[in-house]
Order: sequence, then structure tokens, then C-alpha cells
Amino acid sequence: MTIDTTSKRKKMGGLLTAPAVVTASILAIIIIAAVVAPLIVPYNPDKLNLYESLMKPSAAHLFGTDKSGRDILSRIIFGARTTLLSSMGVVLISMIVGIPLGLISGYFGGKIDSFIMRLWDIILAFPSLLLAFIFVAAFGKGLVNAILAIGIVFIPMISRLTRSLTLTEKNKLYVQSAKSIGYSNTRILFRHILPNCVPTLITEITLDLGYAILDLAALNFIGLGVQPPIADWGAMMQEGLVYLSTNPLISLVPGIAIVLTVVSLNVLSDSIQAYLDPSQRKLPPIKKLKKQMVGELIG
Amino acid sequence: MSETLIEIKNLTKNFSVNKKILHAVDDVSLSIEKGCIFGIVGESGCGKTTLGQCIMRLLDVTKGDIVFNGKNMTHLNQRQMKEYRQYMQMVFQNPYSSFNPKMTIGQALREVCTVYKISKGDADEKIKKLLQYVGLNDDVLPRHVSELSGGQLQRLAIARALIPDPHFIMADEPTSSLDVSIQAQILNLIMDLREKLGLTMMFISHELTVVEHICDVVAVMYLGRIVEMAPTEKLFSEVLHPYSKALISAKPKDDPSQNIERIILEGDVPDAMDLPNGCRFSPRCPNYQKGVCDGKEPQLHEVSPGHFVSCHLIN
Amino acid sequence: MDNILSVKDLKIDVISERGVVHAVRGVTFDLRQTEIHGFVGESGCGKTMTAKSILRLHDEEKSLSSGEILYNGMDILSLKKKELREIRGSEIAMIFQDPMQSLNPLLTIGEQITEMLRFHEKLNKKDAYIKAISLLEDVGIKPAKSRFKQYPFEFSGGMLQRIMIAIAISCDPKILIADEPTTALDVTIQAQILQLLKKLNKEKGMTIYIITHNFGVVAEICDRVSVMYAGKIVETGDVGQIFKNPCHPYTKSLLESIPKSGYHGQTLQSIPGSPPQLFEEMTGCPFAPRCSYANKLCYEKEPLAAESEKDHFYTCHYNL
Repeated sequence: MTIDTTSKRKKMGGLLTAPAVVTASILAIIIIAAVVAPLIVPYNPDKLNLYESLMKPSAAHLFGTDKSGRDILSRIIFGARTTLLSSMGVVLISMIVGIPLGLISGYFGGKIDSFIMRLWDIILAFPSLLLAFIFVAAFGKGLVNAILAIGIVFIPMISRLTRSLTLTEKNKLYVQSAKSIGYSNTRILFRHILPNCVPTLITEITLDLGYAILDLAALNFIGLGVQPPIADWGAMMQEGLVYLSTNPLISLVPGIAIVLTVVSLNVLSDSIQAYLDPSQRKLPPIKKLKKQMVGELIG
Repeated sequence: MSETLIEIKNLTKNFSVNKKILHAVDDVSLSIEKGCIFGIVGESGCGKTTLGQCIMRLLDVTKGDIVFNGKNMTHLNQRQMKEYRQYMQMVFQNPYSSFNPKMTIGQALREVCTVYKISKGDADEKIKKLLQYVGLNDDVLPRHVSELSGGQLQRLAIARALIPDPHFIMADEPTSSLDVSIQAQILNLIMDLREKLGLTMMFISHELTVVEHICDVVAVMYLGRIVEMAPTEKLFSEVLHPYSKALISAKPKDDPSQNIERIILEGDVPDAMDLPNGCRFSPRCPNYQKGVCDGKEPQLHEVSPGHFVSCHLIN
Repeated sequence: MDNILSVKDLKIDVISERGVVHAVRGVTFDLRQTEIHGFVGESGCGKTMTAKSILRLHDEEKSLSSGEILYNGMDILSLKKKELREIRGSEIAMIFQDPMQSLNPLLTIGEQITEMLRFHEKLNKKDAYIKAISLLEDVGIKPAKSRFKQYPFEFSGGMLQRIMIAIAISCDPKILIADEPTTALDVTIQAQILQLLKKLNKEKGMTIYIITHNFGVVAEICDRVSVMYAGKIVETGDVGQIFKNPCHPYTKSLLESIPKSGYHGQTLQSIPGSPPQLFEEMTGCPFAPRCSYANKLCYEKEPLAAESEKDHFYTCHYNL
């Protein structure tokens, strides 16, 4: 008796677990909504319409309107854009700076390593929001500065992870082999070691996207990040606080959107990690197989 | 006979471990002639792998010289070494982990060609030819490491090592992790390539039977030093050093009817960081003579043509 | 000589990521009292799985077994967990390949030996200590009293293997199963350990079932040998018979592919291809694809055991 063992299908099968599929779908919906936002919003998210302020949910406005009469659903959809783009910006900054430095630090060790690690220690000494706060206070409010600030704060984590992965890979035989063949250090770092770090880095990056959303939402919540009238989930939560007892949806809906996105990212990250760790991979359903095997042994 | 390809002079490699010094390789000298398969044999901790890594300049040397084809390579930095790496390639013990798991075999082989500036057309031809040499088909090229067997991977490791047309191959326990029947295939391949391509090799192993079978010259290492060195036949038939004697006698039987005089050594290999005075084999040596063996460290000296021993009591 | 263990038509299927592996495909053999019986084969032949299943140490969650393993009139495969625990260690004991991994790094070796004694033999602390010291001396760990208090990291591989042996024999088991006990050890230490096992066999009459891929080990201490290939035994016999007169083509080729003294530089006999992966059901003889004597019959029909000389069996259609 054989199970279909075509290797590609087996590999994807490992990844298509229920949690992974569900969360990936949720995220896909959010991303698609963000991309086609202008096409699907029922109303202009920035249009003020004081006659329709603070309306309860209705057929016309699925989640109601906020204090300026703007349709909440439309703002949520556009808010997805802001949220996704800014969190990706944060993660990109941390990757572009953190990964190469982590590779170099882990591979060469010595003084370079000490120097880079001390840099990260300085950043890590500050609570992340406080550091972002200081940065924004020094360089001014605004979404771009917020992204830069949080991006810098995220660099040490990814850099250290890359460094420890590099330390492990560097002692493996294929790296020794590459050295003995005569490959340059650059080639070894970027074409050999880095690809082997990517799977674990992906898990970390997925998580970081979630944390970035939270940190940005916090900054936006206290008004240091995005400035009105840009739609953003964190800012929307802050605006709706005052109306929590009368129009709870103004804060609740963006809040739920944040939670849904971040939790989906976390669960997806777990699934990726489980997939990558062969010992945790789900085996084909054992009970069913055993029944078949017994059938064969007897018959 | 022929010229010397590699000469190692007084090679020493120390590691510092927790403020103590580990003498991994201590004052090793040897020379390898062109076309020779030079065997290094010894048990764990004797320094043979470290010696191999030093010669390949994967590690920096503490003292001593490595001369390849007349050029002293000991202190070249990695960029300068690049010129010489073409002529010296290495095959490792574990075929599964000596290839990048994320690349296909084809990619791995082509990468060597790219780095050695072999044009694409020539590269494809060369790879095809080498695959034939090592007895494999083109169908291994699109596969990943996990899809191939140990025997196939070790053949590929050899093919990869041959791409830059090296003069010398360092083989560090190339068959130790392979099954017996696969080992035979790889050993046959190595002997065949030596015939066809005139390769010079250093063959590191802990398996005496293998070394006896394919090496021309054998050096026995113990705790970082060479204790005996001779052409293979001489070493096995006229073995002199007490450690070599014990090592050879410990070889498992070829068949049950053999009666082997076993020299069982007492105790275990001592700590390489805590060496005794004088000869490092003295604590376990059946011929130990107080006053002689615990004084100075014995040096390798020639007792008959080509046969070197490091022992105070043998002349 | 009486049989102390009888395995009848043992089959084990293991569920792995890539499908169901028919690891053991019908193994039948007897262990005779006081003999040293070696099981030889290359990776994937099923020798380790067979040995582990005797004490049911294989992963029962992920596998399915059938057949019988008869010891003392009981079928080990159908024993309850409690009964199995009684046998493990006290009647049948096992030592493994890597002694570094088999011992608990956080307990002294003394504690690990006495634990065995107190569980199975119900000795009190003082008696267990005395017996443990004498066991350590038996296996050559001296000075036993001070080494008793040391931790595994303070010993070398060879000494750890001796300690493993001491633990294994502490309750005077009737059978000792040794799974590649010397593979991870240096040659000179291997010689010591094999000598120790031989001594224990002679002095205590303990049956030893040793698994190895190294014919040298077999030649060194075994009385009888079984050669395994693709989940089945292909040849069994006296160690002298197997070396002098190997009947199965696989055994023959295997013996010829080992480098021996006196044939310096000569091409070694090698077996083309590699052992089969045991995912598929096989028809005919599993060695046929690699056998230089194979013909149509070999691919169609599975050979039955034939006897070539007294007590020397092999599974091949032909007498070569």
C-alpha cells in the first residue's frame, strides 16, 4: 500500500492545515480589500458630512458613521491600506538593515560582532514605544516618522535572530565545503547561508508584522503618528473612545480589525514554524492508515 | 621518483579552551609526492581532521609552513588563497551535509563553474563528463540533497571537487558514513580517478582496512603528533611503534578462523590539554621505560628507507 | 541447545511522512541459549527495528506489527505493559549505539545503576551500592568507589559503554541485545568492549544478540550470524560457515566488498545500485535487481529457505 508520495504535493499538504488556511484566507481578504479599496468603498472615506454624523448602523452605513459623518466601513477598508503599508514599511526597514548586519556579525565574529551587538543593546535598552516617542518628538509627528521610528526599534530583534541562525549554519559542512571550493565570503553569506535562514526568518517576519501593527496603532492612538484625515485603525479607535457608550462601533470595529489581523498573523506564523519543523509535521491520519494496513495484513 | 607536491613543515595548531591550550596538531612534518595517496590514520582526538583543515587553510596555523607546489601558502589571507583553491579541493565525511540543502545538485555544480569562470557551454559539457566519470546520470541534476542516497551524494561531492581540475584532493573520512557495499563503490572510484587523472590525495580515516587498501604511504597520528610513517606495505608488515602495533592488532578479524595476537591498551586516550612529560604515549605504553620516556618528547627519525618512527627506544 | 527466544514471522510496518515503510517483512529466527548471535546488514535492512521490537521499544503508535516473539512461553507482542516492564531489564536487557545519549546527564552513574537494582531486584540502598560497585569492577571501571559518584560527562565513550553494559547486566538478564555497541567507538576501544562482551557470555552464560553492519565484529565474537536484506533474513548459519561458504549472492558480494589485507590497490567487488526503499510491496526476491545471477524466476517468485549444510540456511532459488 502506498500513499501518494509525489514530493511537491506532500510538502504543500504539510502546510495546508486548517489554521493556516483559515488565517491565510483572512489575511488575503484584508490584503485584497486594501488593494482594491477605491473600487469597493461605498463612500469617500474622507468626505465630511456633518448632517450624517454619529449615525447607527443601517443599510446605508453598515457600521454607522463617525463624528464627522464619515462612513466607518469605508474608513475601515482604507484603514487597511494604511495599516498594511505602514507595518510592511516597518518590517522592511528592520530587514534591510538588520539582516545583512546579522549575517556579517554572525559570520565574522570578533570586533565587528561586538560592535554591532552593542549598537543593538543600546536600542534594546529602551522600551520600544518610548524610543519611538523620543524619535517622533525630535523629528516631528507624521506617519513616515512613525514608520521610521518603529522600524529602527525592530532592527535588533531580526538582526540577532539572523546572527544566531548564521552562527549555526556557519559550522555546517556545506559552508566548510563552499570555503574550500574557494567561494568568496559575500557569496557564501548571501547565496548559501541566507537562503537557509529564510524559513525561520519568515516566521519571525510574520510575527513582526503583527507587532508593527500594534505599535503603530499605539503611536497613532496617541496622535504621534498618522495625522487626520488619513484613515487608520489605531487613530479611529482613539477618535471613537469618547462615544464608546453611544456608538461603540466607532472604536470596536477598528479594534476588532486589528485583533483579527494580528492574531491571524500570529497563527499563520505558528503554522509556518510547525511546517518547517519536521518533527511537528502532521502525519497522514494514523487511525485510518492502520485500518488499511490491518486489512492488508489479514487479506 | 616524482616531485613533491605538498610539503608540511613543523605544523602546529593550538586552540585555547578556557585558558588552557589544546595542542590539536603538534609539530607535524610530512611530504606528499605527486600521484600519491597519502593516508593519515588515528583515533578520535588524534588531530587528523584538524591537520586536514589546516592544510586546506580552513583554519589558521599557529606555527609551521604549508608549501604547495613550491609556494608557501601558510600566511595567505582568504582572498589570496582563492588562486590556489582551484588546485586543492576537498571531499568531506558526511555527504548529506556537504551540499547546500536549498540548492539543487545542478545549481551547486554550476555555481562552481561560475566561480571558476567556466563559460556556460563548457560548464554543461564538463558537468556531463564528470557525471559520467563518477557513474551517474543527468537525472540527478534537478534533485535536492534529500532525494539522493549517501552513495550518490558522495560521488557528486567527488565530481564537484573535480570541476576546477585540481591537482590535489583532501578526503576527510569520505567513506566512514557509508554502507559497506557503497564504500566499495566509492573506493573503486577513487582508485580509478587516481589512475585516469593522476591525482594526488590525502586520505584521512580511522579505518585501517580502508587505508591499507588504497593508500601508498600511511602516517599514524596520536594526540597531535605523527608516531609512525611509512609506505603502506612496510607499515603493516614491519610495524614498529607500540601504538601503531596496538592499533593494527585491534583491527577486527577478516574471518573468524584468524588468530590475532591482540594488544589491548590499558585505559583511555589522555586529555589533550593535560599532556604528560616526554612521550605522550608513555602512560599507556607497554614498553615504558622510566627515565627515558618521560624526559624529552621523541622526534620522528628514519629507521629504514622511508620508514619513520617517533620513539626513544627504537633505532 | 535450547532456544531461549523464538521469533515467528515478524512483520512491522511503520508510518512515516513519505508513506508506509515495510520495515520488517517476515522474520523468523531462534536464539539459542548462551550463544552470541550477530545480525548483519546495511542501513534500512530492518535489523535495528527487529531488535527493538523484541522489547517493544519501537514506536508502537506509529507502527503495526504482526507475528510472534516467544520468550518463556509468552508472546512478547501481546503482553500487557506491566508484564512487559517486568521483563525489560531483568530478563532481557538492551544497550544502544551511542552511550553518550543513553545515560541521563544529570544523575551520577552510581545512581543510574542502583536505580535499576532497586526497581527490579528490590534491593535496599546498601545492598544496591555493594552490587553496583562489584558490577563496575566487573566491567573494568576502576577505581569503582570513586567513579561511582561521577557524572556521565566525566567519562569517555568507551567507559560509558562499559557503564551501559554494567547497567544492562545488573539484574542478570538472560538475553542482552546490543545494537551497534561499538560503532561509535574507536578501534582500540572497540576491541576492549568486544572482549568484555565475550567474557560476560562465557562467565554468565548470557545470550547475546548483537546487531552490527561490521563483519569484523561478527568474525570477532559471534557464534552464529544472520544476514538481513530488505526486511528479511537472507542467510543464517554458523559464523565459520558464513565466512567460508556464503551461499546467498548478497552475503557473498558483501563479504567480497570489504577491503582485506593483502589486496592493496585492487578493485573491490561492489554491488551495483542501492538497497530498496521499503515503501512498495515486492514480488519475487528483493535482491534480484542487484543480483548478478538473477533471472525471470527470481523476479516472480520469492525464494524459500534452503539448507546448504547443517544449520546453514539461505533464501535463494539456486545453489550457487
